[in-house]
Amino acid sequence: MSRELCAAASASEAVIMRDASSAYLAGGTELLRSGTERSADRLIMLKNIPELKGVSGETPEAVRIGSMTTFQEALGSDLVPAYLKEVLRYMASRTKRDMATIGGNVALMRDDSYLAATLIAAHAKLELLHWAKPDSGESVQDRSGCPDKNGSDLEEASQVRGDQPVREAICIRRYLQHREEYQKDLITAIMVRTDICVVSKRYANTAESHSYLTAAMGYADGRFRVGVSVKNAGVFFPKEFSDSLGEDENAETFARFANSWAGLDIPDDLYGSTAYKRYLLGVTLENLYRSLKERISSGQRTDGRKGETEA
Amino acid sequence: MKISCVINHVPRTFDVDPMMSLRELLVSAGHVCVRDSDDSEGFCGSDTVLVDGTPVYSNLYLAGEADGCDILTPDGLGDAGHLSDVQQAMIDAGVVQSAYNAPAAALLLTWLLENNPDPTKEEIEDALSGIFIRDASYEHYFLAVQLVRERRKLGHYETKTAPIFREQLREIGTPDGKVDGPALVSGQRAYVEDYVSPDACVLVVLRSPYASAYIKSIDTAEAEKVPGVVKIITAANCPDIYYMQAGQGNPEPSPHDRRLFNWKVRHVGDRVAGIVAETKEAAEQAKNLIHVEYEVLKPVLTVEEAMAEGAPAVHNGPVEYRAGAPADLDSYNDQASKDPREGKVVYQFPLGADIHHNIAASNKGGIGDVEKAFAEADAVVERTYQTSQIQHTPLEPHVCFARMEGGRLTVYASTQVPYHVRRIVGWVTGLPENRIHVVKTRVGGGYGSKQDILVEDLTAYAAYVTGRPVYCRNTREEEFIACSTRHPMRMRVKMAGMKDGRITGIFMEVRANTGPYGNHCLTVPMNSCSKTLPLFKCPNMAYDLKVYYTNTPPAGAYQGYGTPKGNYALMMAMAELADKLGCDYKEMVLKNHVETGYRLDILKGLGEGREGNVVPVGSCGLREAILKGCDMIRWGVREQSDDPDVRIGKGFAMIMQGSGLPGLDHAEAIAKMETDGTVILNSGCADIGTGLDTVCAKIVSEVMCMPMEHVTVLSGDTDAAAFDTGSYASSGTFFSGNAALDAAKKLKEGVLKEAALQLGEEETDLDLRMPGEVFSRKTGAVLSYGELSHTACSGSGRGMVVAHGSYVTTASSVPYGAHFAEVAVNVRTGEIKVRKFYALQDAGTPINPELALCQMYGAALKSIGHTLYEGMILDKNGVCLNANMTDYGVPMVWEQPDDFKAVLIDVNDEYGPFGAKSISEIACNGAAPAIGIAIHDACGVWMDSWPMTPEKILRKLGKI
Repeated sequence: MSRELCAAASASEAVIMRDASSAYLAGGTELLRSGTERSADRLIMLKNIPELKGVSGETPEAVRIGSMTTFQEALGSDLVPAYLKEVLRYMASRTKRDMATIGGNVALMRDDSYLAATLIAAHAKLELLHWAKPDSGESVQDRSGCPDKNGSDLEEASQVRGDQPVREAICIRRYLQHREEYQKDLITAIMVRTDICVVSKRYANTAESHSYLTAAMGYADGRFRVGVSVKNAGVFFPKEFSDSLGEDENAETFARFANSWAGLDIPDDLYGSTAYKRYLLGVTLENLYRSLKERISSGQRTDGRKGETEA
Repeated sequence: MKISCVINHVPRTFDVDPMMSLRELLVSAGHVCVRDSDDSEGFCGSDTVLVDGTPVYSNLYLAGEADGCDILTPDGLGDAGHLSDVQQAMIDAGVVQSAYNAPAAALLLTWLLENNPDPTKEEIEDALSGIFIRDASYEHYFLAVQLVRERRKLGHYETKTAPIFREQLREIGTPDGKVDGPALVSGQRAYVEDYVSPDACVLVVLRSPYASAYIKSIDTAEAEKVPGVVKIITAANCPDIYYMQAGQGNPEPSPHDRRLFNWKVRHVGDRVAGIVAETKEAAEQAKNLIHVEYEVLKPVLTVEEAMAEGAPAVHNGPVEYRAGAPADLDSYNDQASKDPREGKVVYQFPLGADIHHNIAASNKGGIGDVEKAFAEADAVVERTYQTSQIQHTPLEPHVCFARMEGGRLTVYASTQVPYHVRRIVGWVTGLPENRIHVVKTRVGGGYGSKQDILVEDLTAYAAYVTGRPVYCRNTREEEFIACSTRHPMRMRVKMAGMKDGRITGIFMEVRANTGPYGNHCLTVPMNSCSKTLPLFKCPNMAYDLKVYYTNTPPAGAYQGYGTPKGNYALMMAMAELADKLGCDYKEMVLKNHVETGYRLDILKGLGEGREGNVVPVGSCGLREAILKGCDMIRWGVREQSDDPDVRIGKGFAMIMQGSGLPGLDHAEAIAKMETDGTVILNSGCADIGTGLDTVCAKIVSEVMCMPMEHVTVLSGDTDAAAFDTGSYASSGTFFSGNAALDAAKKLKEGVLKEAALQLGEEETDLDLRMPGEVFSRKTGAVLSYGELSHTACSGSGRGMVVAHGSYVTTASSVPYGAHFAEVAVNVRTGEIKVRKFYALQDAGTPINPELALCQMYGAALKSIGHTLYEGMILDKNGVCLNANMTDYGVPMVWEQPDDFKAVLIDVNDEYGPFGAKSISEIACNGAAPAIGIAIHDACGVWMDSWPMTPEKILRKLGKI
């Protein structure tokens, strides 16, 4: 149970306020929900920070979505690509979509996330704000691409953290793999590509239930990229498998991967058996692959189309 | 923190804790209609408000965030006591039923129409996607929006809200609103929580973490020191009175197998201690300071475990009988444990129990010779079906407020059975009934769960023993683990048939799980046979039923009782038999269903411990429902999907229920003509949102030839009215309606008699006419009710005209129907979508047709949920893993069939008031078999358990 509410007027101020005993309050649909595993003594309210809101066409190939943009606001934007709108609608409750923010959802990176698998497949990036010392030289505003840093880079990055807000752009899968590193960082925006084809599929008992499997597959620059989230197992980017995918795969490729992928430990639980979920993963990846292939073969190699705008 | 905001156009300033929820702030500011159904889960939407024009769940919004905001709550709709057009349209469409979150739904539709005056169906669905509707489904919300659009454009409605029945009648059979609709939809004080006084103490319950355990010791000393703690009640200091929580006729066919607190806990969530404190915080703090030492026992969690040789006995104390004790009772009790912590089990009369083998009740019976039928049949199908444990999930959880007033105990209850509450509270407190006053408030959803006295017993006792007002409200988790549920059942059906499609033999073996206590342990499972076998014109039918105690969460009454399960098993078996015989299923159904006049010999053996009453089938719209539904769904026509992985199939099931319990149920009503000629009907009935008060008001209005607005129905108050067994077993319209009819007829007689005296004419020359007056056919004289009653009540008159009506019967008015489903099954992923669902029912004369339709929709959608999504999942220790709304999986707007229709078959009944029969329970009985048969039609697999999940489909298809 939290005891204190602080309102931040700017992103920098929010980062300054953040310490070990506090948490950012975005839409509140997770942090204030009963049964949440997250709590903090102090909540830092982000709703009054204009710079965290809004959607803009950053480049012809990318859209910047402010982290405090709600799911519904993103659905109402002409700029947000259709593949992302499709997964934004996975949040079945309109009222919840009016409250929940994209940044909040990404920050949690829950294993039943609406967005994680798709953002991974879409090669999305996160814009972060964190704290650095004035002389650290870490005032990077890297929006040019996914750095794909190796371990030593990471270590260096963590050492230079200090006492001055610094903006950084990282690939979402890096955020996924090193979440502890970025725990206190404020996500200020999500950068999504429009020059990419992405398809997604979510499974849940009912539309409003927690999803137990979400899979997504993206295609750009001649490469496939797969994102998977499995309830009680985690969010995954199977890099080797993604890299191995060519343009002539068959059902066996996906069934074999789903059944034998060592990195995926799927439990028997109230959502279904291990066998069921592994089977479903294989079938779903195959379906996504086929769907992507159809688009590619029809010449639609990017998802330049805009999503239908919702009021 | 000082917060300034605008609430419903009025600037307000508060000095509050910014961490409190916005809902708490709004309720404290008087906006009681901003309610809580899910303990801040962000699911049900009862807490919806608009903040700066955007819908939010106010439980998930901090008061501190609202500073500077413009807030609109549901009670801010409408103006100066007038309903808004949206609120009025919701009443007219019939969706305002139990209505716990109807105000929130009105707010959402208002917001939608302000932003989008001509929304599509999908846009309406989207607006309602954040709100859980359990009672009426979402279908008539689309109608409500249509009505608003028409009124705004044309000044009136063009679309009919429901068909009209009995044109010759003025009120009966005509959609005409709901007497409590305006108060409910506008969010006025109506529910138990609205009557809680500021000085109320809070009652919370410490619950068992174990499925089976003895309490070795319980130490409350530290907890009692917490400031504000008033009383802690445990097995050590509660009355040594055995009772049961099932609200049924007395003596009950349920064993008295519990005290308020027991020394043996029998399920995870069982009561261990009740803490009464001046604040919730103090109560919770004290709860955490109670030290309990348990002796953990091995639980039994399934019927199979319970029936196993040497299984631990859930109840292993001595057995007593109030009547009909078997001769060998003493030797039977020699088997009992000598441990006093086991307590005892008291049967009111024999129920075929054997508690040392976990059998709480049993029964068997039948007609003809089933074995001979099986031997001579052209084909026999034998299958076993399993159903899951289902929660009612009413929007308003179980809640009670009780206080001592002038030496009497007043209990505000959200109940279906106020008089049974009074009786059971009398037992546990030792108070006579004249010192207990039960006030049934509006009920925010019951569906059978509020037929059980699950919180009233303890809350009332706590108020009595402390002398303090006490409020108790279940958490949503407690609703799952500590309330009644639908009995899980295993049913083996053996069915024999001939090549010509005749069914010649049916045997049902039912094994039901009643959980740790025997609420309705015989009646509910019996319905799986007694409300299904009489559908068949079959000369050889038999059943064998056993009900087992286990250590799962309790089972009890649930809309439809055991019928949905029995019907699922029988219809599935019939479809498979038709398949095996090469018959068309429709033709087999038509060949074997009963029709008016058919003598129901099977009833003789379905009497629950006594010989049943054999009667012929009365009014029956079954055949018409079947034929009409088959036309609607294009039976026999194969539909194709564009998706090669998707197969489409169709199925249907015939259904029946009852209209109350002949020979057991009882209803009374007292009609008074007030001094201005208006009428107040004090009815013992318990309107749980279904419109029973409106039924009674219409009946009085019709008989007395007076406007509805001149009739007020006061119901469910044990001080004001006379006895009524309550609203369960589909008895409301039939029994309470007939009692109202009897009272109205007697009031009419009284009025005519008084008028004859006042006018100096013969009664036979007088009659009643609108708008509430007596007129003479002979002289043309007219006497208004106001004049009549004023004169009667003046100093020289003969007194107020008062009439007492009652109703008991041995007649049985059975509603019939057929439900149809069309499903799409993805054979690679196992996903199932109900594309079409048609519910066709014979309700006799639907007195409130628009409300009747919504109840059909609501029950059908609920049953679709049971069939496909819902089921409590327990781990090996008996812990429920999905005791929350999100994981449990109730159907909401996106699960509703794309094409959803409810159709009332016009049949007039001989016994019901103005020909009415029941409507709601029966609508729970068709979805599972209709969907199951449709799945087989789609992809060739027979689904033998519910919920019918994608994983089960894939397993049946051999994919995993």
